[in-house]
Amino acid sequence: MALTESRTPTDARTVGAPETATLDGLIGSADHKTLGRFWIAGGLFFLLGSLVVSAVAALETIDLSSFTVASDADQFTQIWSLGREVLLFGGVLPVFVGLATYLVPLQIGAPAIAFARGAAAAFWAWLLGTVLLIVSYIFNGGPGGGKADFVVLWTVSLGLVILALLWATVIVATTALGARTIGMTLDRVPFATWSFLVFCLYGILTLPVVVADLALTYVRVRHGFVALDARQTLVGVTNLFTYAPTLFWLAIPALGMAADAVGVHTGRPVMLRKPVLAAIGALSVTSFGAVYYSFGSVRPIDFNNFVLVADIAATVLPILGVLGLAGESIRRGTPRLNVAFIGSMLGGLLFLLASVAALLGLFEPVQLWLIDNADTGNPDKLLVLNGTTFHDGLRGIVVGAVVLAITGALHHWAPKIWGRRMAEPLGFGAVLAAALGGVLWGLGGILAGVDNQPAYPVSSLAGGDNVELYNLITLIGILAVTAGALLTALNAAQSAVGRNTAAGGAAWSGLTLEWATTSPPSPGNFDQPPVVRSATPLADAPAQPTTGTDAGGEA
Amino acid sequence: MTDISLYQRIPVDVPESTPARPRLLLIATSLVAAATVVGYVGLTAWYAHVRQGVLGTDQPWLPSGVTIPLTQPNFMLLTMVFSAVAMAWALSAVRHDDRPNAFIAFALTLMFGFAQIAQTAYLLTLMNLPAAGNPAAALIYTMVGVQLATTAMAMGYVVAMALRTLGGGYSARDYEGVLSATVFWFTNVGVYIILWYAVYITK
Repeated sequence: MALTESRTPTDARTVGAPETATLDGLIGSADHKTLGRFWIAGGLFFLLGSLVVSAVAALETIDLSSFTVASDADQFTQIWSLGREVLLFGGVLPVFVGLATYLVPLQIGAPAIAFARGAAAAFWAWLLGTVLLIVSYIFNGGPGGGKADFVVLWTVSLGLVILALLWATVIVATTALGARTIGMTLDRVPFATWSFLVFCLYGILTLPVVVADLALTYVRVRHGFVALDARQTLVGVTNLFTYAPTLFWLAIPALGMAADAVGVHTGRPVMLRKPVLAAIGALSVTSFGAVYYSFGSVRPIDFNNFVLVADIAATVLPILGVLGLAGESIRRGTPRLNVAFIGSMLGGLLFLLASVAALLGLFEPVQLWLIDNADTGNPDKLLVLNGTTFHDGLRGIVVGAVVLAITGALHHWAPKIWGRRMAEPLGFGAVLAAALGGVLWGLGGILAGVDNQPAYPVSSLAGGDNVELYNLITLIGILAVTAGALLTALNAAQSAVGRNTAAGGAAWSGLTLEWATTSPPSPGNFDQPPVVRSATPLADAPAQPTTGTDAGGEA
Repeated sequence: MTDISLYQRIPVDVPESTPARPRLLLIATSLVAAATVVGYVGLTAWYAHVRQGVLGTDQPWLPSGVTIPLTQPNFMLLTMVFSAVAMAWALSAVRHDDRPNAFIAFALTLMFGFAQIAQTAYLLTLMNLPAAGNPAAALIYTMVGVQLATTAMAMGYVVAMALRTLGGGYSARDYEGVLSATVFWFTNVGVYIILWYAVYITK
């Protein structure tokens, strides 16, 4: 069969078949379950690393009188930028892609992911790109870097990372759109799959903007159009995804997974499916951030402000809607107060907090108040907090929310992914640390931004009178989020190596298709293609083929 | 009136029909095409942004002595339009199992692709735009370079699908791959039209 040939689900069953434990079998695997685990493990690893680097950058700002960790402003910018880029492109996005790669085929009743070898290529390209990205910083490249060759390597490696993620999102979206089993219409797909589809389409329609910018930056750096000390130009390449509103892209899969988990752990599937699907889809309106980013200076500045504020305002309502409908399930059902449930809900609440904070920070009356009452040092009426650590604070809350969402999702689907549950005590520790850390990180960053601390220094560290205290709060927040992520990673590793409790023949009493097969699923996922007649196929028991051993099991 | 006896002649042991094969390649190609357009529009936006900034300072956009002739870009536009027609011809021929016409059309499409690349190289020679020292050069070279890369990718896709057709993989019964290559080729033509208007016409 030629590489260009698309495979039928039946063909894909054989492609996804090898589940060998040998090293060459693992490295050469095109099975979506193996690749999903790889993405999750790699993503968690780099997430932890990036959080440590972010903590180092925060440590530097505890004392504004001089540089202690970094040698100068350039090196500080490198540390800050490395943490920010790897956090997003090396940590958070890969974990979400991994969960999508693992879960989407199972939830839609497909035997394999579309373009299985392409999915493997995406993972290995991402891994190579992320390693090269870190190498480029180590050898004095990246924004603030002093060696032209390694600044060029930074553009190339970041481009490779983003292209690999882009390709992975194309594959997941293609799977969700084209490989659904019989009867699985789009309005019947589980919330997680729907959210991954929206998440991937969002990525497909926004990530290329950054790739284009990187191509331009490559030419500019290579031919000397951009001086190496033009940090603002180089840092700005990834601003689109690290600033609101595009930052709230990450809320889409978090809310979808939460809706699935809440339905299972309350014993009451979330009511009003279509409004929930619509609300998750509505979050994609933040993709207009790409328009703002691309055409920002071409349009009148008042219009830009309107677009930005409207865009962020549009994130609050969908998040509130999904949480409200999930709350209705909690009210009607009997919630199990476990990590999957609490982590998912707290993640959603933290996203809500971040979106409200973003809206308030950019709302014109608030900005006018800041001009009158705070030492922002920015005479413009518009976006008075731009360029300050205000956006770092927002990102901090979002990172806390993401760690909570990942913790909740991994606890919920660990029996499916590794055949073992994750330990609840460790999980509660992770949830507590991530929630507390996200709030503190956000509080410190936002207050320091209002107190006129730039996101990265031009020549020396600067800020208002209380900035050092705020930075200490930020540092404590980052350390707490790091602890949460570390506990989750250790917990997941224990499940992966078989040290946690085996799920046995029973998992949660989920009603979606992934619970209709064994845990972990066998090659090909299902003995025969499932036939779906509703959004809760396992509730239609007579219509289901007997494909697994743990369907409908209760913990 | 329906002759019920016709139905009775259907043997009872006929297996159930298999579900229609999902058009995964077409879906994926459409998504990649959408991503390509978004990326190129983003690049064009940067071009407009920087150009507006330079013109706002009463500075010339292009360095003195540099001109962008219109003849070559217009001929390239014609070339791309012809290539789109040739690609549509290839698709139509495969759909009708007309293999000789299909291979002529594939070859013509590729020839037009090569012609566009050659004309671009000639145009860049004529423009003689210095690679350093002005803000326009980086943007123009990036936009032209990305469009050439898109053409190269589209040509590779067409070659792969032509070979698959040659091997009997695609025919009137299943022509998804050729349709997908056509979608991507049309996207490539669209990208060139953006380049043509934004850089060569608007300058």
